[in-house]
Amino acid sequence: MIKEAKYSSLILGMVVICAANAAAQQTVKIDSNYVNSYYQQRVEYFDKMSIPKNAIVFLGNSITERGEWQEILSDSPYPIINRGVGGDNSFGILARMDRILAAKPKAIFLMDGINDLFRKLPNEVSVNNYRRIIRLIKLKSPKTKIYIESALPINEEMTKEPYTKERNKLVPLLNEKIKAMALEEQVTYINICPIFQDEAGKLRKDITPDGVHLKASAYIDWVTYLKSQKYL
Amino acid sequence: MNKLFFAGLLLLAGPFHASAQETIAIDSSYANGHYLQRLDFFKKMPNQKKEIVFVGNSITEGGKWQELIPNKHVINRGISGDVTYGILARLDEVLASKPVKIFLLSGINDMKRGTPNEAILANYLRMIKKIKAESPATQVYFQSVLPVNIPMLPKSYEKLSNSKILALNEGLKVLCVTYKVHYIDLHAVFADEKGALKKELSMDGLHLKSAAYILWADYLKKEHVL
Repeated sequence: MIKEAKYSSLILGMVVICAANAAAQQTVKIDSNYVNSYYQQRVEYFDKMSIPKNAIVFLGNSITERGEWQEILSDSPYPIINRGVGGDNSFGILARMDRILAAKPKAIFLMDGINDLFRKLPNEVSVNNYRRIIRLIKLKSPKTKIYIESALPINEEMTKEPYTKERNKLVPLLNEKIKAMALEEQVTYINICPIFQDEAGKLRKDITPDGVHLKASAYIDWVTYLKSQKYL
Repeated sequence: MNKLFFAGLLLLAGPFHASAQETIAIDSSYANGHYLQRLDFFKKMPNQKKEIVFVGNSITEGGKWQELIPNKHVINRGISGDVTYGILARLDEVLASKPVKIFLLSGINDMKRGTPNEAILANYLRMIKKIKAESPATQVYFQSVLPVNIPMLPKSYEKLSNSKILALNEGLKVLCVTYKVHYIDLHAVFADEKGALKKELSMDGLHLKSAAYILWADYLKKEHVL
C-alpha cells in the first residue's frame, strides 16, 4: 500500500502545471510528496488499529494529532478517533482515506491546509485534493457526515522557519476557496478562525506555543465551539 | 531545600562523591513552556470517575491511550520533556480525581541531565508515598524505564546507557516490593536480546513508533492490569 502510494506520489510529483495568470513559459512545480518516516509509522499504526463503528474521526495534520480529543469529548456517545499525522498535507490525507472510510465513520472533521501553504502548493491544487477527499467519502461511506474546517492562521512573529514566512496572508485566500468548494459539494464548512485569531488575523499569541500549533487548552475552546454549533 | 536534601542523599550514596566536600549539582527544573501549557489543560479538565491515568514524559504523551484502551476513562498525563521533579510537582492534579489506577513511567529525562539514579529513586519513593497518602485506594503501577538504542540516539542523549537504566529499574523494583505497589517490566516488550530498545520500534532510539504502543497496551492487558 505504501509502496503504491509512493509510486503515485512520484508521478504526481513530476506534474508541472501552468499557473493561470503566468506567462506561457512560467510553470509551477507541485511538491506532492507526503511519504516520510513519520507518516509511514503513523500509517503502520492505523493499519493495525481498526476504527470502531460510529466513530467521529478527527482528520488532519499535527494540529489534529496533538489534540486530546478523546479526553475533551469523553462524554461523547460515539468513539472519538484521532487521525492526525504531523507534517501531513492534502495529498497525504487523500492517500490514507481508504482505511478510514472502511470503518464507515459517523462523522469526519477535516482540518488541514497550512502544510500545503508551507510548501507553496497553489490553492487550486489543495482545494482539488479536498474535493477528491470529499468525493471519496461520499462514494465509499455516503452516510458519513462531512465537516470541513478552515485552515488555521499562523503568527509569523513567533515562527522561525523560513517556510512559514509570508504565509499567513495566504490563509484567508485558501479558506475562501475551501469554503466555496464546500458549498459546491454541499458539505458543512466550519470557519474556526474566529476562535483562534486576533483582530489582525494572526494566530493569537496566548493560545499557541510556537505560532503554528495550539496549546492543549485551546482544544477545549475548539470543542466548545463545535458543540455550540451543534456539530458535535 | 531540595538541593540540601539531595546533597545529603548523595553523600550517603557513596560512589557519586570524590570527597566529603564535593556535591553534585542536580538540575531539578521542570516548569518550561510545554509543561505549563499542558498542566493548564489538565487543571481545566474536569475529574472523571474511575480514571485510569498514564503519567509520564513524552513517551507517555505520545500514546493514544484512549484508542488503545477503549470504553474506559483513560487519561493521558504525559508531558514531553518532563522529569521526576516535574511529575512530583503535578501529582496533586492527577490524584484529585482519586483514580482507579495510575501507570507511571519516568526517569529517562532525569538521566539525560546526569541526575544520579539515587536521586531518581528518591523521587519515585516520594511519588509512591504521595499517592498512598492522598489517594490510598488507587492501584499504582510503576513501569520500568524503557531501554534505549544507543547507536540510534542523537548526541544530546550521551549520558544515557542501558546499564544505568537496568540499575535504575532494579532499584525501582526493590522500592515497589518494599512499598507493595505493582512493578511492570516493560523490557519484556521493548528490549532486544542485547537489552537495547528494539530498532524496529523506534525512530530515534528512545521514543516509540505509534505501532509500538499497541504492543505495550497488549502486554498490560495480557498481564491483567488493565
